Amino acid sequence: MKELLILLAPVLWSLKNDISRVNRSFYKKALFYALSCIIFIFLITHLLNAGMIKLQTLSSDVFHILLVKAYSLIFIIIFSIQIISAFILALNTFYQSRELEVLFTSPVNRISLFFSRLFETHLRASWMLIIFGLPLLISAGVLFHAGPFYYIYSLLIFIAFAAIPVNIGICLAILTSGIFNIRKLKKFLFSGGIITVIVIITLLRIFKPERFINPELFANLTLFISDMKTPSFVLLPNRWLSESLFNFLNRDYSSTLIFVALLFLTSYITTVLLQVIFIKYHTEAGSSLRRGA
Amino acid sequence: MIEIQQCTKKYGDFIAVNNLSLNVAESEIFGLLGPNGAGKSTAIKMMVGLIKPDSGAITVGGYDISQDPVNAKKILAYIPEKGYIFEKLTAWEYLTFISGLYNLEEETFRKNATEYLEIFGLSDWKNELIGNFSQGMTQRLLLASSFMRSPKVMILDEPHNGLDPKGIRILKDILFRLRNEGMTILLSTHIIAIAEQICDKIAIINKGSIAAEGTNDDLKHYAKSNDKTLEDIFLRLTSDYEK
Repeated sequence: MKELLILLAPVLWSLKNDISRVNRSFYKKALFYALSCIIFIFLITHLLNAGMIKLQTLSSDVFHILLVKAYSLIFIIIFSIQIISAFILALNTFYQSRELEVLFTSPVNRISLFFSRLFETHLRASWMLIIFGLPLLISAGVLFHAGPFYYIYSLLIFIAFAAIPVNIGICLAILTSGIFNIRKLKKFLFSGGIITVIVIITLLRIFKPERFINPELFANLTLFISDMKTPSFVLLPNRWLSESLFNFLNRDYSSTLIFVALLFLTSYITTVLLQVIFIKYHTEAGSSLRRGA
Repeated sequence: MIEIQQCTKKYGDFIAVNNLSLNVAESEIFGLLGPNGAGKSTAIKMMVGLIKPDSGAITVGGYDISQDPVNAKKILAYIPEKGYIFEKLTAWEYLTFISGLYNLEEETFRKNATEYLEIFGLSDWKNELIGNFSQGMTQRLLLASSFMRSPKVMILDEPHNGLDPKGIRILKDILFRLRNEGMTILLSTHIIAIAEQICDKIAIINKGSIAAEGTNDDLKHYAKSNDKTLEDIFLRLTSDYEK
């Protein structure tokens, strides 16, 4: 733990220096990002609420299924983007950061090194996730008139959810860097943007979310309800997160517990697996990257 | 103190280090001399545990760098060719960070850090952000951060790059002093004059293997020629590389 704190010290001191040394560009950037985020979160929350209030006219069962479906769809998109984002970030934090030479030649335990890099990657990857995720959590809370405990709970399960794609992204980065050198990986990264777009479009086509907003597209109500009730991708974390949120809001605590347990367990298991992969493959991967650099 | 046994490192078909074997004794300044791309930096990165050799073994102070890296790195200091230091930290914060990494006692750290900042002319800059330093100042800070730990073994990759003549002179004096106090030093350079002036022993490396090894006199004897200077010997032994 002491080693981990030492390894994270430069990140905190750099931030302290940015603030204390009145770095104008830092303040300008911080102000710009903060304002943009607040406006974005406010607008999206407002839009989501308006949409959900409109759908609330449907029966409560249909409305619940619809919410879970819609939220699952948004969460799977965030999940996919997060894997690619973490993959790119991990190449930097685990391989290309210029301070790595100092860290990897110091007598620091590899586990501490792993966790310091992991923490930094999570921190850098999660800001986007929080900005996109907050409106969803707030909207659901507002709609169900949830108490303050809901907001703490939803943030915690959201963090557990967010850890999974980031861990997958880092894992992919470590494994692929062991096979390819940096030049090949850089070429691959150029394709990253295209892959993201393809993934999003594919997911949208699979889910066809517009069907649920417009029940008239279905031949009859039975078809609409049966389609919505189809347990799609129940093994994916996006579904667990949606179920954890809405079961909790509907006070169905026994179902909630299962999905929350799945989220935290998967998050923990992926971290442990990632640690094993880091210990086994990281040095060799580093070699191929250094050769390519 | 540093022992390299038949180390090889390949990148695809390219052999960066080819069956390299070296022994650096305690209290010795050992120079690794070679043209650009000869494999000096790869060999050094293997010694400090940044790159894993495909075959062979490396021990530093009796510790295998692959099997027992933590103990090997405790007694080792490494100055990379183009060292990077956290730009948003002050010089003193960086030294504090290094002191934490190597678990230095507070009193030792304060005494040594102050002393080496003074020697390298950085005392007045200790609270300045490293991002505002010139390349030479950054290199001097890197040297100070390594020397303050009093390591048993020091490995320097082209340490003179970026240093002005005064900096080079300071470094030379410190290296002699620390060698006399028992430190083992291995440095790589492509500047023959530096190797000639500083090193007790020199190995000329070419295409990843040792072309010749020994003291200045040994090398002249080895060359069995009328070569009068180390430069002549170096150019003759590595001439095919330049073709």
